Amino acid sequence: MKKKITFERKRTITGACFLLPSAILCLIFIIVPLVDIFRYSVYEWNGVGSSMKFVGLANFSRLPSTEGFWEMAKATVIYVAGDTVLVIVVAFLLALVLDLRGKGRINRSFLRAMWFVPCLLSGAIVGILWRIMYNYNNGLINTLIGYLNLPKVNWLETYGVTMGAVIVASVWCQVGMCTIIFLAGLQSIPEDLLEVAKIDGASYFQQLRKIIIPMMASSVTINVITTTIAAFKAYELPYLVSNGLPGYSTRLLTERIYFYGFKAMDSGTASALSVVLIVIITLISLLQLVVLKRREDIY
Amino acid sequence: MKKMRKMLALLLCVGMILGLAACGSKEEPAAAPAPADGGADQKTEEAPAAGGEQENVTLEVCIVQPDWSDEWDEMEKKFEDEYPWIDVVSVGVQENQGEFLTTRAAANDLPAVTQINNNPNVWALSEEGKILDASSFGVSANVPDSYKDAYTHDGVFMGITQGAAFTVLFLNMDILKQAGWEAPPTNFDELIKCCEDIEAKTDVAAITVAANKTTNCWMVWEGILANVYGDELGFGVYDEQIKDGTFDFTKNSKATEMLAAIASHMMTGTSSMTEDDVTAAFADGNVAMAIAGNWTAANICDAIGEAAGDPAAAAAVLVPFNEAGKDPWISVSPEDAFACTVQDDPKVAEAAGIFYEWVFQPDNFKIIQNARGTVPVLTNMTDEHIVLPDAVAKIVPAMNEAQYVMMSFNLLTSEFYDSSCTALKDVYSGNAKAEDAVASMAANLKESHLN
Repeated sequence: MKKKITFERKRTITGACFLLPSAILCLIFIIVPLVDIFRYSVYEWNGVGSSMKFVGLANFSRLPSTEGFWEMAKATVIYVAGDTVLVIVVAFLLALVLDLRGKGRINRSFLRAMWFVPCLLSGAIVGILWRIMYNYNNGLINTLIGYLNLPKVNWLETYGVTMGAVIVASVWCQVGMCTIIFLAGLQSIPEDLLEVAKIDGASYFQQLRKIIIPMMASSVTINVITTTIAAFKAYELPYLVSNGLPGYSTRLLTERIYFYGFKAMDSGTASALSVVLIVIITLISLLQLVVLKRREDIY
Repeated sequence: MKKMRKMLALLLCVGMILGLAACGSKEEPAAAPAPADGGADQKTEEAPAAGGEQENVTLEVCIVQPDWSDEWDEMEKKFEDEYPWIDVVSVGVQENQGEFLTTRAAANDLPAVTQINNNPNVWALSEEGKILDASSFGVSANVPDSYKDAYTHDGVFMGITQGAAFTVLFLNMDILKQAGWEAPPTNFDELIKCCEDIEAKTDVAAITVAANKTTNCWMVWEGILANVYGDELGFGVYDEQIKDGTFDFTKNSKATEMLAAIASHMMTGTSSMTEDDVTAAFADGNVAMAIAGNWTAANICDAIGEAAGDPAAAAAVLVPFNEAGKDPWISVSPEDAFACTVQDDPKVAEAAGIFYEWVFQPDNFKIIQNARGTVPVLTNMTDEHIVLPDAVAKIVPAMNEAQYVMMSFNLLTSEFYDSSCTALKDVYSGNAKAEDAVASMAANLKESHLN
């Protein structure tokens, strides 16, 4: 007797079939390379040859003593913190402005599109663009400063200033996407809730604090986590803006991974550093998820 | 409807698996392309007839640099007119070619003809059998032995160099005259005095270097070292000591003092300047002098001529880091070379061989040579092929007679090179003292040498 397939079973099989293509891609392009990175991190290997020598944890233990490691770790932390905070704050403020309704406002779709355009550009293009603008001698920014009769700023060679310049370029590039997510969150807040608050005499800032921000907790969670991960992974934009100068002050650990992997031909050390970064990103993302989810649950 | 959806999902899966399987298929590597003995004359006979019954081939080449990318169109057209069945595609133009090469090597997708530098990364590729021995090509007969030796690793002649690279001081004589200098400085003291006069009497920066490129960043320091230690150590000793990690950067404090002195006159923004930025600075009349590689001569001389309104304002001299009364030492190196890589597809391998032989024919190579203004090494290139900028042509005899050290970046590990250039850039930008940078380099050399 033919066994009858249940509806649930059919649904599971159909779902699995739909998932299979992306699962295969994920396996080939994410899981396998990830496993490989862990494997390579315990070998001495030049990345192109066939000879690999097992060295245990030696690649990990030499990392802290490599030239500029701690300066680069510090630069990475500053970049990630600065980029994430600025992107979230600017995107949120932008979303609030773009959500304003009333007569005389500029077409919102047009403005949203304008803010979103930088997200469509590759990091390399944005990096080169900002690098040209920051040029001390003939860059646009110093030219504008010159019109104001202010002294020129050496954006790309001054400790402290250069990291700020790199972060501004990154924020410009990333803020559009976060703004769109915040806008979606804002537009999902029921109008009548805000109307009631207004009738009850709540000011705009009270509405913001008591209704809007709490109800956007899930948008904040998504934006914070994705922006943090993107900042940890950033490579080409910071590198092209400042080339890591001055000293190691804007050189990120991702650049060091690339350096070991493709300049020094030391795939073992590059993989070890990648593993360290993967662990850090995972831990921080989990921490953020737990904290922000708890906050979502409160509201 | 449900069945259709299932069928669609199934079809998608099968399609993807087949697609992936197809991507992973491998062919046996082809043998090296048949060499054409003795250059163009024979090559034309041996090569398949233009427009014949050849199957079309796309050939990836990574040889074009930004300083002659405009001329590449001319070269590409000329080649494709002769060999219409080969479609040459230039890759990696705007990228750092060393990094581009290692990235492609890691993906086992090397361009068929590629630019290589004489460094451990390329040696590793050669050891892996990914680079063809260029001795098998007829055109290698036109390369002097010394340049062959420079690009021979473990008995494999990896590629033919584009020319001889050396360091030059380019000057906008129009600005120097405004500062009271009718002729270029001839020694280090004069160079510093000239910088001071330019800063005092004009509103342009005295001197710069495209320090963003590590080769340029290092060659300023190396020029100082060559002049301070050259006479004392004698020919070849500096190179050996750098190679085995015994060279002491701190032995003579004069080198450190010279580094500090020249850095104090560098244009603001020097440490982040690219070669294009230096050219732009000359074109805008923002700088009077630059220490640069001779490979940028054509662009820089054009830029100076443009700024001064007179091409004769462009001048070039060997960098005067020498003491008064002594001849300058220079650092030289064979320039990057072109190599043929091992290709899986025999048709691509054959096309690569044809292109390789073609590109080094004097009538074709002069397109690259004259666009860059470098000094060629091919023995079959004559005066009618070589058109150097006047400024550079005048110093070629001096260059040939000068005492020299080999540019040492090929003798150092990437770690040392990277950390040293980071320290030097901090000196050029005024963020660090020369003595700190030199001490840092001295400490790093011992543990970073290649042996």
